[in-house]
Amino acid sequence: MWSVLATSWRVVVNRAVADRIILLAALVTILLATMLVASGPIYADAVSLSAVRRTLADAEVQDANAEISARITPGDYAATNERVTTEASRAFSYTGGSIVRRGTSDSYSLPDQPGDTVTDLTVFRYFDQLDAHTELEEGAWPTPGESPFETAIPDSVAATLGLAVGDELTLMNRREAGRSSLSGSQASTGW
Amino acid sequence: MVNPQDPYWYADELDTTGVEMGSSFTTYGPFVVAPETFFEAMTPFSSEINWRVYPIRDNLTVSEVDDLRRELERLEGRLNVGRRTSNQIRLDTGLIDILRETERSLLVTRSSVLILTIQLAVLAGYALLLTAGLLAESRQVETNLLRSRGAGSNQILAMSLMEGILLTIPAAIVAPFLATVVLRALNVARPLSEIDLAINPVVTRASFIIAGVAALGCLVSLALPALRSARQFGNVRAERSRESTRGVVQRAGLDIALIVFALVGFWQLQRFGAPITETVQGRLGIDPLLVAAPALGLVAGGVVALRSLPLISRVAESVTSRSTWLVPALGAWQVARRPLRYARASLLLILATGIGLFSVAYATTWRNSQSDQASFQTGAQLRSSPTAGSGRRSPTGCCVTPTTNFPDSKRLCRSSGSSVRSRAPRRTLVMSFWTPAAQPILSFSGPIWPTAISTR
Repeated sequence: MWSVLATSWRVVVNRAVADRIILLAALVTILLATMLVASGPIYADAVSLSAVRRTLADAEVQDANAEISARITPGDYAATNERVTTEASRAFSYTGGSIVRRGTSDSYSLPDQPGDTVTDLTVFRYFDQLDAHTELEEGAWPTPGESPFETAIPDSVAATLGLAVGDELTLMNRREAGRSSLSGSQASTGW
Repeated sequence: MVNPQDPYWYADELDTTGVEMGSSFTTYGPFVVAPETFFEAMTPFSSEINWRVYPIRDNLTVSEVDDLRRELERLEGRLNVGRRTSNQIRLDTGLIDILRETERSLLVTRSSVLILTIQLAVLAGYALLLTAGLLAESRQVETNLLRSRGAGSNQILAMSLMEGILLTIPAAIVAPFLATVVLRALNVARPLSEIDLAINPVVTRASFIIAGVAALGCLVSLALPALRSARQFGNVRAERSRESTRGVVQRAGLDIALIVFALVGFWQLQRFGAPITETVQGRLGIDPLLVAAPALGLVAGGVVALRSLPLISRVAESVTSRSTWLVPALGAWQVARRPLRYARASLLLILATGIGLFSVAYATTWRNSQSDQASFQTGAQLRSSPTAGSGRRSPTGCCVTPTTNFPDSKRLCRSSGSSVRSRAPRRTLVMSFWTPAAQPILSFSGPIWPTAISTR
């Protein structure tokens, strides 16, 4: 069986060598044809992938990324954070990526404004990884557990409000006006 | 200073500028606190929490686009399982639309590539059939010798298949890798390099499967003439002395069926306008008939030319036989006597020329279409974007839309004491500002288009 097969192959190879010019033309044609057909899906995938990456790179940050928002009480934070992190990681498992959290408080009125003519407000925020995206001009990053609590503000705001490191101010919660106020000290100015 | 372009800030006005102006209030800040302080002291009741997800776009592959879009479409629902309707978690992203558009673009690209690939595959297949025919013809005597010594048609076919395997298997293995090398040339040649879009072609499993199918087709194309040659044993003398004036396709009437198919495809293409159709479920897909319609038309045109070749050659023979010139008369007589022998090369030439013309027309149409789409989406040939506003001012911008000729206008734009004039009086530009101008920084580059005024 094997000897018959080997003989057949030997005959085929000898025939091919004898007609090598025509077979070379056939080989080139086959190679070009298969390459052409194979290049179709390769090209379509490559150009589409480059286009989508370019689109994402050029898109507005809100379009190219995703923001999940919720209004929650401090007691719900741990459970909600767990759910959001798990589901977002699952949805983006194809690409991977990072999740950055930001919290925003209710509005607080800045000091030295009569109650019925309040126009200047502020909010408290916390950011994940803030120190990786800003540079402190002066002071130190706020630490928890201090009384009065510490905050950091942009240097442009410090200049506008006339605040410096170590200053203290009292802010009134707009939602609970007259009932809730906070006293804080400025720990630093940055960005 | 923060970099407002840093995605980390999510283009938040308060975070990047320190101030946010509302209709009644101005917010300064933010006052940043530690997370522990935030939840203990700042937010006794509730607070707004944002989870910003920054996907690594370089990890995205084409096969995952559909899956990622589906996951994102389901994400908000999964986040809100068991939550009250008054306290829902929101998802804000433009990714779903971008990915949906990408899927559509992928489909369009694939259909465009498929249209040309089918035509070129037809050309390559026919060229291969011709080559295989030449090979079978040159081996006719050898084949007959083998048949006379007892070899059957199947054995001749087996030898031909083995020979084909020698050629097709290496081609199927090498072709996908060769394709990636050739496609990389598009990074330095037009038109992708013109728009600075670099592609990174990679060999996929699908490309190997398709190359394998193509190689199988080539194997069949190589074996068919050999099989036909083996079966013609005994008719050699008759075949060599006088060829039939009608080919197998014509004798079977397949050319008429092909022409009918091509006409139906042409009619369908005219009706739908593109090879992408929508199913009753609303899903887009590539219609095989519409994708193959141009190739069918091309082959049908070639077949019509083949049908008319004997008639034309007979007419040419009768005309040239009356003249005193010998060479044209002999040539026309030879073609009229064996039209099929010359028809093969003619059909190859017709197909190649047809595909060349189709490619040029297709490329021009595609380029014009892209240009029109870009013009439609941009809305203006020139756009001015001032630097981000500082202080209490909002950013402003303006755009220029050439509409009609405005021969006597020199002044193009006036805003906040600055104006722009065109250098050529008859070529004017007028701009419209859609927000109250702060201090627009107008910088123009490129040619100024002839035109006019539009006010928004």
